[in-house]
Amino acid sequence: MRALPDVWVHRRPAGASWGPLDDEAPATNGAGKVPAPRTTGWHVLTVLLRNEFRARYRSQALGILWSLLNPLVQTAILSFIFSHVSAFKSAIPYYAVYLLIGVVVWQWFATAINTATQSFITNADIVKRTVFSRQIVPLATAMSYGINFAMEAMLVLALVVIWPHAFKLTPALLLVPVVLAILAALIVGVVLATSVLNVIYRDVAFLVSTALTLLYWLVPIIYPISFVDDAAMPRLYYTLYHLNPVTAILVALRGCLMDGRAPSALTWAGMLGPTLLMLAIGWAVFRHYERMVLDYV
Amino acid sequence: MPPPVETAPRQRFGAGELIVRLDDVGKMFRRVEQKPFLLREIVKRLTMRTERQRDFWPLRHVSFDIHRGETVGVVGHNGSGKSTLLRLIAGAAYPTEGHIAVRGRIAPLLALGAGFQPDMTGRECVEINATALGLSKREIAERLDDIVQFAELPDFIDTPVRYYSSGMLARLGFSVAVHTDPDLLLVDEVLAVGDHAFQQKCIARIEQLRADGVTIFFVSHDDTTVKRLCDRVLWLKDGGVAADGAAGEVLAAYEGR
Repeated sequence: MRALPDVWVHRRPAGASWGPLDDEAPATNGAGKVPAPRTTGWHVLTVLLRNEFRARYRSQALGILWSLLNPLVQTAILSFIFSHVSAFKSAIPYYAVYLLIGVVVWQWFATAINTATQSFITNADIVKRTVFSRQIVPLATAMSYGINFAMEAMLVLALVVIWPHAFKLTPALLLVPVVLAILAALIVGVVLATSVLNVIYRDVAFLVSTALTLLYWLVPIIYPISFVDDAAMPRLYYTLYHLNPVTAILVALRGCLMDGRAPSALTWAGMLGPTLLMLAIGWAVFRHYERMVLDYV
Repeated sequence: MPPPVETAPRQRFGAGELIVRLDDVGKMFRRVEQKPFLLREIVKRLTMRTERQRDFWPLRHVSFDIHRGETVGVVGHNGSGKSTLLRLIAGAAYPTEGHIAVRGRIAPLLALGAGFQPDMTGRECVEINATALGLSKREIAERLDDIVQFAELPDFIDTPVRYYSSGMLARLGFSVAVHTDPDLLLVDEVLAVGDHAFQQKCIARIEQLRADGVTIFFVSHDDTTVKRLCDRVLWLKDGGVAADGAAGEVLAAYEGR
């Protein structure tokens, strides 16, 4: 953080602020306002992000292609196995497409959260020894996997060539970027909280990765959503299942891409409600522990 | 975001203007006996078991002012709070009590080469390190040649730093830091690296910055360098300021103990 020439930066136990010294007349920039300190946050974010992304593939000959291989192989194996399950086949006409969308979305969600949770520990050096807005660290890590996601999304598009009828060209496609933005916001909300908590309690990373393993089976990645929808269970369970933001995002994405159907009210609620809640919680937790991170990392 | 035009540091503040004020500053750390785990913490909260808190204060009741153009040396034994003081002024830690006020651009040389990663080339390291130290993209582009020249590494700047010697790394790190055009330079024993010739070059560079009116806060175990560079010395002892005054007097007291 850099301050403009005439601005005092105050650091007190309660946090940082800026303004005049206690016994000093307020500094003005001529317009009668105290000039705000300038931060280089976005620049740091872009450099960290690019760096993180480059470092990941630097030593590999095929570079980014490796990240495409994983979802491809996973989808190929799973669709080979489950195409022999007649219940799956009859529930979804284009199971491979359905599966790949699920796998690619999950890949971003899970790897971004797992890695960003550790990001303060991995970048301990730069966090301890330089000064900038700390939320940049987990955000850069999480978003660098967004680049991977963009590459993998190309795989899904490539499937148009193989199964042109799996996709529906309708106005609902315009909602896809909106849904992806909600997914990004959800990831940000989660990692804001888990990244700072993991600095102070080092077992948070294990809890997070275990929770993600559980969540993998709680959302419709492999199995058709109709299995849950058609199952005889109380209305409450059904609603709760659909209020899971990852479920809602998958339902919305597949609806827009494969059925040309805009998300239902319940799906919107399931996407937006928990995401906004998670953002609020994440930001509150982050603010609460932010300064402790510097002492514990 | 285009960086606003900035004036050269020597015009930013008048001579003798206050740029750092510490008012009754204290920093507390919790001594950790066991690694903190969330599960254990939750169990502890649930069972209402309270543990004896073991607080310790590496710094307490520290107050002083620094004015523009001063070169302040900090001496003291290991664990007397020197590095904590530097990190507090830099903003890399927050005080537990008291009030710190700083202004201007701070270049914290808390360690050389923060953010260097073995797989990155020298050029990329300069970029990320300089960014973390607060330079804009344009400033980095303008200064890259100077930085590389000063570090004496023009032939290796596109080599991954995993192949650098420790001396080369230190040179690159120092070079970035002194090219950040600071108002206040915080130096934490980083001169202990590199060979003799490069050390002399670093000290010469610091003297030049000092002549340019940059305020320098200098932590070192090396009394000779402190004597050569500083006009004022702070002696830290057991987390407090034991003496603060002209370099000669304080150093004499410190050496005599």
